[in-house]
Amino acid sequence: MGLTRREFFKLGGGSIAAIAGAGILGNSLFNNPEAPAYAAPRIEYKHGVCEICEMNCAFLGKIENGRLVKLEGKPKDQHSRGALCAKGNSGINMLYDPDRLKAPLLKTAPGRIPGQDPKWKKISWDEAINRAASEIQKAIEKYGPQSVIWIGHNKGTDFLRAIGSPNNINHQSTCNAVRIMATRITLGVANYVPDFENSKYILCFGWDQLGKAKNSLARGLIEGKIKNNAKVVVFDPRFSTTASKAHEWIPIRPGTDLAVVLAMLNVIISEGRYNADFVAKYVEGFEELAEEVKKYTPEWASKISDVPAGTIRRIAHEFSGGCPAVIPIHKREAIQVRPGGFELARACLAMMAITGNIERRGGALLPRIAPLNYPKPKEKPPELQVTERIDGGHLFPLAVPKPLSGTGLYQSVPDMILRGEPYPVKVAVVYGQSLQSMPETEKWLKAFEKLDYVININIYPDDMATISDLVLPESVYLETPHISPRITNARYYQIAVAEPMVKKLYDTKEVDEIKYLLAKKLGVDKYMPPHGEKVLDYKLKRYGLTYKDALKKGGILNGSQKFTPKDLTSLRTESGKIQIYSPKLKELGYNPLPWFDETWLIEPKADDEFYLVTSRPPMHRHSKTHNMRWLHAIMPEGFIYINAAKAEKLGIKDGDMVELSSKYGKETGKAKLIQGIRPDTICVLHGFGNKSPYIKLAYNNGPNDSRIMPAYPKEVNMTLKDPVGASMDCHVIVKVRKV
Amino acid sequence: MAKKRWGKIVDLNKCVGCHACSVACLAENKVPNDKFRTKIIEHEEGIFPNVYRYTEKWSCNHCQKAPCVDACPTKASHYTEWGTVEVNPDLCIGCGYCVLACPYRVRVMNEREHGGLPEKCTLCTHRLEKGEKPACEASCIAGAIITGDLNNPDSEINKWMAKGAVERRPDLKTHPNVFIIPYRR
Ligand code: SF4
Ligand code: SF4
Ligand code: SF4
Ligand code: SF4
Repeated sequence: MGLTRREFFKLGGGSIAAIAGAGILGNSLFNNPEAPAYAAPRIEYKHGVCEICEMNCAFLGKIENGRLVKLEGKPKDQHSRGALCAKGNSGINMLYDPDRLKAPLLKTAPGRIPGQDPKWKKISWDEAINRAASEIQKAIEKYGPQSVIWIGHNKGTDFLRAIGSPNNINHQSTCNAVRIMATRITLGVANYVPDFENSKYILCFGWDQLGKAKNSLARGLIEGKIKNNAKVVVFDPRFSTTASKAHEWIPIRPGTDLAVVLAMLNVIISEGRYNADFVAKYVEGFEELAEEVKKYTPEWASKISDVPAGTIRRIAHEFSGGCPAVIPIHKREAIQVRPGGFELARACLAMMAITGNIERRGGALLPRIAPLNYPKPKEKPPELQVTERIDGGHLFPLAVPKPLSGTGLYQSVPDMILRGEPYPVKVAVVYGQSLQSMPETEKWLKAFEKLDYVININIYPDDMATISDLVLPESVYLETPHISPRITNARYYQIAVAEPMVKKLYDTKEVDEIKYLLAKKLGVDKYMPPHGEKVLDYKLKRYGLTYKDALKKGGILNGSQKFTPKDLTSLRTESGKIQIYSPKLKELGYNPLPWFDETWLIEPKADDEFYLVTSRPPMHRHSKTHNMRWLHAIMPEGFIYINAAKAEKLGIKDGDMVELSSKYGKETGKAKLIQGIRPDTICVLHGFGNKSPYIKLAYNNGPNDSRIMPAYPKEVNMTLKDPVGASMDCHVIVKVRKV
Repeated sequence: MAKKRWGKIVDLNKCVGCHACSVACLAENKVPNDKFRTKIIEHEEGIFPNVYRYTEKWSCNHCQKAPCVDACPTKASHYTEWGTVEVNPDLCIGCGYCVLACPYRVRVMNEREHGGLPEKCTLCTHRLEKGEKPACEASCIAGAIITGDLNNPDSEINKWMAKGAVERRPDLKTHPNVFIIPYRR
């Protein structure tokens, strides 16, 4: 905080000179809200929805003389509750970012090296669409439509269907696939809402939405703890923000949470502490679970996890004491990043189920997601000729129930491209996906190198843009309309509606329009659903409202806020009840119950070897916020957390550059020494490591965790008997060395 | 009606260190050059595995005996009618004495169009007077901030006061209008 004398003179001294120049006028009226303005600005407010993260917080945008100046959360929106996180608040930085893509760009230099000068040539949209379509056409003619893949956010499914490719590649296997599938099997829905505010016991396994500033989830936990006196217990190898707010932090050995949960199930069942009434009425497969968990004793779990058996017993007792209790699962945390993640998510759900905490206030609530109408294409596209997917998704029917739907095996893609298996890939359209989110980045780069053509739809000229042949600029969410049902934390049916805050600043397009133009050029537009303004009314049709009506109503449409429990015997599960034992999993050749396999475990063997965990800081979202000036000012670069005592042993001081190396790659970054992490574990902040000089603030902003992570081909998931194709990004031992 | 005394409390048991407040403040007050008026300070104490960590929203304390006001040669830094401390840009000569005088180090010099001006929290009195919450409180994702009239015994802020709010560095005898509820282990 201190200000040095030199800094003082730099600032104060400089100002004195400036003041002398300004003479008697002094410092008048600079943006001082107290001061009378010469002309009152024209102020209007517009309805918006934040698209920076999946909370999609609703806000009012304040527009002064046509310029968007501030975003303010809407108190009536259950996701924002009046607040926006630092990222949401900084949205205007993205809109007005001078480094944004402003027109289609064609790479004229050879090679695909991130950050290398692509010798971009600005071209018109006509030319861009022509080129993209002709490259796609060429590939389709020679290698079939399956040689064209779309990477990113499930946004390409309609386009792929129209051209006849099954290759909808999305990153969910590195993100939320495990939670989606575990919850689907168990509760018949894709997510559940942790009712923190009414809870008395909140048990977290790596869950840290406080540290990631997930607005109402963070507020909910704080309210549950402070207003409702809930006990909060956090298992995490690192002392996360959530752990710092908890009553108890248990620095568990990475990758062993599942052993602890299974042992807790053992305690709760063997000591008869489950809710027999609830189980009899609503739970399917309790007897089988009781049998299975007999072998998972607290003593067994203790050896694996470093958590004392007594602690496991005590927490199991506390959790099953009858009070409303919940285990939140968001996405990556402990579940997605290592083998057995699917089993961990299912075991957590089972623990809430047998203690009667499903669809109970203070427990896990079924989400209330307001449905929308989605328009269909004029003509039904022909059936896909090739249904085998490049990522192997067709071999994982849970992950990919139909060729174009589901979550897939993102991480398996580079190997398959390199092997040319099951067929060659020639063109990739990459949408909203950065190199920072491609585990084993070097392998992905080799795979991209092999492709004939890469088309990137992007907002920023980032790494991904610099390695692509053609860059198509997308509009920012503040320039486009949205209809957004509340999903992540939806306790009651609610839809937020957003309008463009300002006219598009540059020659950019929405992704739907880009897809449509491509399809049109390829002569398959009749297979594309309609897009643009006209769809907005259609989406709301079932509510008897138009899009404009919804805006007039304040941009928020509410269902009843009264809590009416849903029937737990007519769920969309195999039996209609809460499904702990799954015959379907058995039929597919997997274990029908949550289980544990000790071969899943890995262990650092030497002093310089570490477990890897990752996290995100509260002011950045993956790699998409790093060029936003306010966020950059708060956190300009990423770093690597290392236990201070352990670092001293290795001769590493705070701020030293260290090299991380694994079987999969190398990366360097600054070490940040802390007490709050296990000595055998490092934590790398995710999303950094941009090498593109064209986003100036984010240039060279620290280590990219993806470079040392594995991208396992599908065979690994098969060997590990993982039914969902999870990415297991942190299933790796990392060597750390001072450089 | 009794005179108002605007104040603020930050509950460090709730603050998650998200920086929403500091960014909302920049936007609300159109602060140029990204000179934050609110900073977030991280504290880590203890030795693994007995560690404590908490974050603290750090901005002007609106002292009732403010060294910055005392140090200001032109009376640009002054007490408002609501007991807060503000800078009158018309009187400010950009000397920076207040920056050095503030024992909490919450002021920073900013280059404005016509010279240097100290940047600091105004408690968003322009919003408070309209019945709105300050930008930081409105955007706090954890509900960790409360502002209100300390002279009104029924105000929410006085309910928080009763939960153990304390002055920062009472030894400095600056008598702040901004308080914290300390982090409890
Ligand atoms: S939590 Fe933050 S980034 Fe996510 S939608 Fe809300 S305001 Fe935007
Ligand atoms: S905190 Fe510093 S700037 Fe604010 S009133 Fe007190 S002395 Fe002045
Ligand atoms: S009260 Fe206003 S000026 Fe002060 S820190 Fe909060 S937002 Fe900034
Ligand atoms: S917005 Fe609230 S929780 Fe976030 S840093 Fe500021 S005071 Fe803390």
